[in-house]
Amino acid sequence: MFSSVVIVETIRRHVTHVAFLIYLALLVIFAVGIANVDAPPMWPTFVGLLAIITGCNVIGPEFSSGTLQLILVKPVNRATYLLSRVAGVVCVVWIAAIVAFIAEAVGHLIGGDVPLEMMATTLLNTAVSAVLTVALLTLLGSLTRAYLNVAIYVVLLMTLNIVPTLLQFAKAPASYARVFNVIEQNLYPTEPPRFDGPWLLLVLSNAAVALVIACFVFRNREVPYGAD
Amino acid sequence: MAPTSQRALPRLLIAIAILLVIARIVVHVSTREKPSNDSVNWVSIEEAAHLAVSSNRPILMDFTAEWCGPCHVLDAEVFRDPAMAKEINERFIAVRVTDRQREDGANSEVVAELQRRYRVNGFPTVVFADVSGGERGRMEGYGGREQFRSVMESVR
Repeated sequence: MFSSVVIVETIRRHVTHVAFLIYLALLVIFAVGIANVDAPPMWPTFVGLLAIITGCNVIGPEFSSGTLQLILVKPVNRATYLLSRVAGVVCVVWIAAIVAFIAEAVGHLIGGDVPLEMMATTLLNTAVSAVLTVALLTLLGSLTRAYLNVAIYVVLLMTLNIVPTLLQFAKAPASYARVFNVIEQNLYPTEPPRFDGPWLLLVLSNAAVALVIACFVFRNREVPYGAD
Repeated sequence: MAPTSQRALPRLLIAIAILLVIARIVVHVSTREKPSNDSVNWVSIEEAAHLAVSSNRPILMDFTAEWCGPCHVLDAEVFRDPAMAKEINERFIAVRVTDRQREDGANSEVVAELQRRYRVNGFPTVVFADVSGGERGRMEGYGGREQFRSVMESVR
């Protein structure tokens, strides 16, 4: 199902990038600095942002730049390539999450007390959430080209937030708003503050379904030279 | 064009996806049907007034919302704690008032009236009221089990 070469190369390309290293450094500073402030940790938000930034690169830009066409002339299974790219990107996000987790632990150690259970829950929820983010961006990337996937991802998120409020003002039936809410909870689920098995299942099952659809779409996609 | 091996779908991923979806449905159904015996016995708003008068016990109202993170922590640490739940069940008539503004666009008239009456501006808010509905104590936000216990102890 995976190609180790593609995974390793994807990780290598990201972790050796200067922008990634700067992002990681900022993440560490945030995680250490805010560890002893009486507020929720901010690093999961930055890791989520990293998942969006790296996740939007999976297929669309390769299609537009012509790299994908060069890769697909080789005898590689399309699904294997796609899933390996996803696995590589997820690994990169997890690396950032683990670094931030360690930095937060160090920050807490300086302050005296390490709330390990809460931190482990945050790490787990952030890591699982990142899988869904990358899977959704991959699905959108398999349908579109360039960075249209991230545009659709953000516009969809904003729409799902705004429409229920507009429906409320328009005095539309409550069931309409509920539909939007259910979609939002499935595509952009809010991370719970504790270990929540059903929530983890929701996120992982949605990510798996998104990846299956992405593989199906990518399998049937025509990838001509000079696409853009 | 017929699918070639280059275009074969990943069977393992499909199997994992199907298993996860089935597991999700099973968990959803089982948690719906089996409420924990160790948690607080919540009664409906309508039942609460009648039960409070007949048992002469004050009412504990938990104003909560599905999307509210601290509400879930309060639920896990207090209302699902067997010892706390036992004490609450013995001393109070417990009512859960769930806000549905965000999900449904509006709350039911009963929920909206209770929120107005007890000046609920945020979640979680726990209000302790006597049998006539007069407020005897309240906790706004969740600052841990001990905070809840001290508010509960002050309601005698």
